[in-house]
Amino acid sequence: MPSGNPSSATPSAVSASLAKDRLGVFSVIMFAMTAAAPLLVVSGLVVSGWAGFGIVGLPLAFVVLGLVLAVFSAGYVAMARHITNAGAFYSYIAHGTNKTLGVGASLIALLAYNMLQVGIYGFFGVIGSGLLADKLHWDVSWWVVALVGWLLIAIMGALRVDINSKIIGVLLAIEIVFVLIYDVVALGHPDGGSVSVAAFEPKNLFVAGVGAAFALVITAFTGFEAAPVFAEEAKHARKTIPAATYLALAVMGILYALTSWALTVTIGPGNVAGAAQKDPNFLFFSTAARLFNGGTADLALLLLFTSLFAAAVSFHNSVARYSFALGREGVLPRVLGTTNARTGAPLVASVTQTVIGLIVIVVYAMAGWDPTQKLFFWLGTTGGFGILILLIGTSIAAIIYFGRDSRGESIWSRLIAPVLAAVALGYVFYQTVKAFPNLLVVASDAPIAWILPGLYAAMFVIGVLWALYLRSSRPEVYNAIGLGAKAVTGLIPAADAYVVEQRPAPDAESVSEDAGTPAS
Amino acid sequence: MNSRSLEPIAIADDFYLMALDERTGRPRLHNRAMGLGLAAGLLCELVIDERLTVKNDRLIALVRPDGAGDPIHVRMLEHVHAEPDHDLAVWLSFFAQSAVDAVADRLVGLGYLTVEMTRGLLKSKPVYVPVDMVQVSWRSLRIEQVIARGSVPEWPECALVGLLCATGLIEPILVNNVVDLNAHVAAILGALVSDPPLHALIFQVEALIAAGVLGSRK
Repeated sequence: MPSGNPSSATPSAVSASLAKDRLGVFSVIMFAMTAAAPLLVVSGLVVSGWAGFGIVGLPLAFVVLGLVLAVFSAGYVAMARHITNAGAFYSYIAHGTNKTLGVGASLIALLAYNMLQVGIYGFFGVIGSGLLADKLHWDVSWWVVALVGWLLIAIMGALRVDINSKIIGVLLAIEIVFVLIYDVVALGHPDGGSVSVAAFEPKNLFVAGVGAAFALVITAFTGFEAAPVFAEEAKHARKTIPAATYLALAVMGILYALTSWALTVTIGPGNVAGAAQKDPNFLFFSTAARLFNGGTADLALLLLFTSLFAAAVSFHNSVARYSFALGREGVLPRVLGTTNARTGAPLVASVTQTVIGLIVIVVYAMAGWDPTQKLFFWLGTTGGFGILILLIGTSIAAIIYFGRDSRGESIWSRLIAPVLAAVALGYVFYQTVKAFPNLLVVASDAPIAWILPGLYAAMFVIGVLWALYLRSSRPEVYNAIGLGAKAVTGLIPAADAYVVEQRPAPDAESVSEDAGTPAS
Repeated sequence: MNSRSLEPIAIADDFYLMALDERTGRPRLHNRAMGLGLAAGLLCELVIDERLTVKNDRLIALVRPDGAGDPIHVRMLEHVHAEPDHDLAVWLSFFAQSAVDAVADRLVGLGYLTVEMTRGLLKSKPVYVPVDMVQVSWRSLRIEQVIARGSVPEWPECALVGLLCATGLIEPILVNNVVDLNAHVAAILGALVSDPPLHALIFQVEALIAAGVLGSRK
C-alpha cells in the first residue's frame, strides 16, 4: 500500500493513523503459532500412526519435512508479497500458472480443509466422551460430544465470534510448557534404562510405506501456511509474515519431533506400535499418568480437548474464507460470497461448512464407524494429502510466476527454493500415493485406498472443466478468478475504466426499460 | 407525519439513520461496514457537490479547502489536499476511522440524534440515540419508495442505494415487498456505472468489506 508522498518531509497523517489499526508483529506471530498443536499431533496423529502402520521413525520425518517446508516457504512468502488474496493456496496457483488450474486447485483446497475440519470432530468426540466417562461417570457417545462442539462452532461461525486470541495464546503456552516438561521427564525415564535414538535413524523411517509417515507429518504441519492471510493488514508485512511462518514451522517441527521421540524413549522404540494398538486413543495420557500422576494426565486431556476445539474453529474459518472468496469470484454460487450486515460474517459460507460437518458426524454415528481411526485419522491425513498437492502446485506456481518477472526477489526465493521444494514434495507425493493402503491400514487392493486420494483428482477435473466453461461462456467471471475481495460481485456492477470527468445526469431513459414494471 | 422527515438529507446522514434498528435504535450494521459506508457517504457528498472527484483510484480535490462549509467536509478536503497520493482503499479506511462519530455529531446538531450516557461495567460511555424513532423508520420507508418507483432517481439517492447494497443493508431495511425489487435496484446500480467517481467509491466499499472477511478483520 502506498504510504503518503515519499518526497514529503512530513510524515503522512493518513498512514500514521492507519498504522495504529494494523496488526503488530506479536499478533501475527501469535496467530501463526496457534497452528501448533503438539498434544493433538502426538497423542492423536502420531499414536494413531504407530497403531496403524507402526513406523517408528516419525520424529525424523518431522525434522526432514519441517526443513522441506521451510524451503517451500521461501517461495511462498515471497509470492505472498505480490498477489491478492494471499491467504489461499489456489490464489497462488491462479496467479502463477493460470486461472483454469487455479479453479481446479480451489476445489482441492475446499475438499482438503473440509476433511481436516470434520476429521477433528472424531477425536474431539472420543476425548470428550472419555473425559465425561472418567470424571463424571457419564456414558455419552463420541458423536454426542462431537455434535455439541459442532453446534458451538456453527454459532461462532455464524455470528463471527472468535475465541479470544489471548485465551488461545495462554492455553497454547500452557500446552507447550506441559509438553516440554513431559519430554524431559519421559527422556529421564527411558525404557530399558538408556535413551534410544532409534526414532531418528533413517532406517527406521525409510521403510516400505514411508509415504504413510509423510502424509501424517504433512497433516501435522497444516496451518503453518496461515500467516499470509494478514499480508495486507500487518505492520511491516514484508518481514512479519515470513518471520511468523518460519517461527511457526520451527516451533512445530521441534515440539513434534521432540515429543514423539520422548514417547518412543519412555515406551521403547520396539514397543510403541504394540502399545499404540492396545491403547490407540489414550496412550499418551496413560503414559503421562505413569510418568506423573492421574491429575496431570487429566490436565493434558483437558488441554487436548480445548486444542481440538480451537483447531476445528480454525479450519471452519479457513473453509468459510475459501468458499467466500470463491463465491465472490463467481466460481461458486454468488450467495457464498455475501456477508451478514449485522455481524460481517460470511454467513452462507459458514453455514455450508456447518452442514457438511453435520452430515459427516451423522453418517459416521449411524454407520458406527470408528471415530478415531476412520474419521479423525482417515479424513485428517487425506486432508493433509490434499494440502500436499497444493504445496506442490504452489511451488510450481512460484517458479512460473517469478520466471515471468523476478519482482526484486532473490534467486533463492524465486527459483532455487521453489524448485527444491517442488522436487522434494513431489517425491513425498509419489511415496504417499504408493503408501495410501498403509496409511489407511487397509489391504493394498481395498477400494477406499484409491477412492479417498482419487477424490482430489475428481475435484481437480471438475474444477478445470468448470473453469473452461466459465472461460468460454462467462469470461467476466473467469477474468476475476484469483482476485478475492476485489472480484466483481453480482450486486455492484464493475466499470471498465474511470474516464468520465463531466458529471452526467442520471440516464433514466435508457435504464427504465430494464427496470421492469414500476411498483403500484 | 412530520413532513420534514421524508425530505432528502445528506447521504451519510441518511445512511446512518437507516443503519439503526427501528426498534432498539442500535446499529444493525457491523462496525467496519458502518465506518466504510459512512466514509464513502461523506465522500459521495463531496463528489456530488463537485468539490472532489475520483480518478485512477485517487481522490482529487477540485477546490482548495477554504474553511467554508460543513466542517467534516473541510477536514476531509484538507487531508486529500495534503496527501494526494493515497489510493481509494487507503482513504476509505482512513476516513472510516472517524466517520461514525463525525456523522453522529452532525446528526446531533441537526436534532436527529441525542447523546446519552450508558453505564458500563467500569465506566460510562456516550451513545447516540435517535430523538424520534419514527424518523428513523421513515428514512428507510423513503428509500423504499424511491426504489419502488422503478425509475432512476437523482444522484444522491443512487449513491445511497449503492451504499446500502455494498454494505448489505438493503435487505434488512426493506420492510414491504417491493415488486420487481431486484430489477429496480439493478437499474439504479447500473446507472451508477455512468458516474465513475461515485461508482468507484461504492465498489471499493464492497471490496473492502470482503477483504475484511478474507483477512479475518472485524
